[in-house]
Amino acid sequence: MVSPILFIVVPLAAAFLTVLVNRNAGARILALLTALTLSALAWFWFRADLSTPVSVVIAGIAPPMGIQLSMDRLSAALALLISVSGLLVILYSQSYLKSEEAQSKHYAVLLLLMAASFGILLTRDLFNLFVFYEILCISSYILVASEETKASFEASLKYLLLGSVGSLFMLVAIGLAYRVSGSLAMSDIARALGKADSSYAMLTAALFVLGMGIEAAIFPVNTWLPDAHSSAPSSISAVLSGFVIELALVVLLRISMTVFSSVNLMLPLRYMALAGILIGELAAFGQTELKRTLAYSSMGQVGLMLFALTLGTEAGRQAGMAHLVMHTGAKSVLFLIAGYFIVRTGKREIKSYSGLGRRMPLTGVLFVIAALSLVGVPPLFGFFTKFKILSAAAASGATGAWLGIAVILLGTVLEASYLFRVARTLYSDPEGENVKAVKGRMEMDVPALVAVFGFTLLVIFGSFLLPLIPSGLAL
Amino acid sequence: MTVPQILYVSAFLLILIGLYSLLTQRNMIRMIIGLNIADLGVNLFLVTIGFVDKGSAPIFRAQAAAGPMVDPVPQALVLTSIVIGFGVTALALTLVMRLFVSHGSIDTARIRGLKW
Repeated sequence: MVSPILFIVVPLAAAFLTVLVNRNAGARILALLTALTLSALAWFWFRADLSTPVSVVIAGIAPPMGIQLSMDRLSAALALLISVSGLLVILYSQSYLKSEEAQSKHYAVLLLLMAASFGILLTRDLFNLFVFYEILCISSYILVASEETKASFEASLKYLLLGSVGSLFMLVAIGLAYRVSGSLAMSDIARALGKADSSYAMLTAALFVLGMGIEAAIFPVNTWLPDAHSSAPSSISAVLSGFVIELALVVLLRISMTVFSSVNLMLPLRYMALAGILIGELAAFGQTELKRTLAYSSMGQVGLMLFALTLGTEAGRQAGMAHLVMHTGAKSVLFLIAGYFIVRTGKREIKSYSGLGRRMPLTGVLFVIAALSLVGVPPLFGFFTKFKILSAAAASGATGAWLGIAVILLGTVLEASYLFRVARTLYSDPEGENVKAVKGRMEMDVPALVAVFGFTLLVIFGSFLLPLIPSGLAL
Repeated sequence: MTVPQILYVSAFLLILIGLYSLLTQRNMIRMIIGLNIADLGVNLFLVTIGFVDKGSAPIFRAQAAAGPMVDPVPQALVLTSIVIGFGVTALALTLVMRLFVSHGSIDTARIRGLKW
């Protein structure tokens, strides 16, 4: 059997090899091969029987002293999602990145980010989680700044300052947990916190959620998101919106339900989720730039997932996970296409894209499909996931569930109005300077088209995956 | 007050001072210094967790020390945390440098390209 540790070793080794190669063509091929290998690995684990999680002990030191990695069904499913979207984004970058730039660094940091993502999923040691989390954060700061424009430096610094404060809180929480348990293994800490004073456990849990919530873009600490996601190169926006925030969210919830199971975090998190939906969708409605609109929409969508995952029922968790998979597909499509809109027109405002749908027919259709799925129009995946969330909320009887349904429906109306506004602009008559600026066919390049098509397949046929999506958030 | 109590209080104060300057300063370099001060506070907090009164350094020797030893695990954590803090500070200063090159200022009030 292949060891789960390969998920961390392979991208890490490839990242440093990419820097050594330091040639654009070499880096591209190496990154693609690595992502292919990872996808194959993830597919193997996804198909494997994981009814009992497979554990690995690092360096032969048994836990709690050593670090334990564990692969369960949820980790395998998310690993598959991460590696496949990584593969498609790397494929897209083949034509999206400008060829005169040094691309090896870009791919190296992207691979580093993937290694950290797998690490966060697999580790069962709280401090090890912190280390992988820091690698994830630092590589996202670098990737956000990688376009080297004024706005991207500013967004990256903003993100870095907020993210560092978050990691400080997380480290204090880890210290508090260690103080009471004398161990860093998650299962030991869960046991010790259960016996500890309830206010002590509450403080630890609150600091941890606040710290990790920054990367998961939970409502009060998500102000970095619109700047970072809209200033990053579009391939990176797709990665950050597509799986990084979702991954942080799932891991955060898994930890709050296992390590901090003695503290009732679900109710406050549910209300924070609802506030996130409202603020995100309202702000997205008021934006004039496409990528900022999409970034705010991610804020709302994260709230939607968080709401479903915190309902406290099996159906709610299942619906939340399904919506997460849908969002990865749909938001990646939208960001990747928005990247090509910017490449082709050189402008970021929605109004400069008038008539673009006719110049890029295939791209336009893919954009509209993803937008419809995000809103939740029937035959597409998004309809099933949203419907499942609403019915799970209605059936759960949890506090705030009906308020949540009202907020979600209001959010859907707002979402539909701003996404349809973009779609209408794409197919309207070109106005002003767009008339002469836009000449002839300008479809996306082939690798990018293939990558976007891959994500679109997920958006259209994702509903067939529903029975395969695991729901357990166990340790 | 006992030694750990003094250390806990000073760690808490350091974190507060750091966060305060991060929130109130407009000079980006000072903001990063604030972050570093808060980082120091957290590191002090972690070391204090492993503190044992009259404990010796946790090194095993042939003739084992008679007295108690301090807990080595938090010290290992602090080592990692210092390295991470160093990396983040270096990256932050690089970003500030690039912002200074493009804007000619390190005052956050003058660098307002992105807003709500």
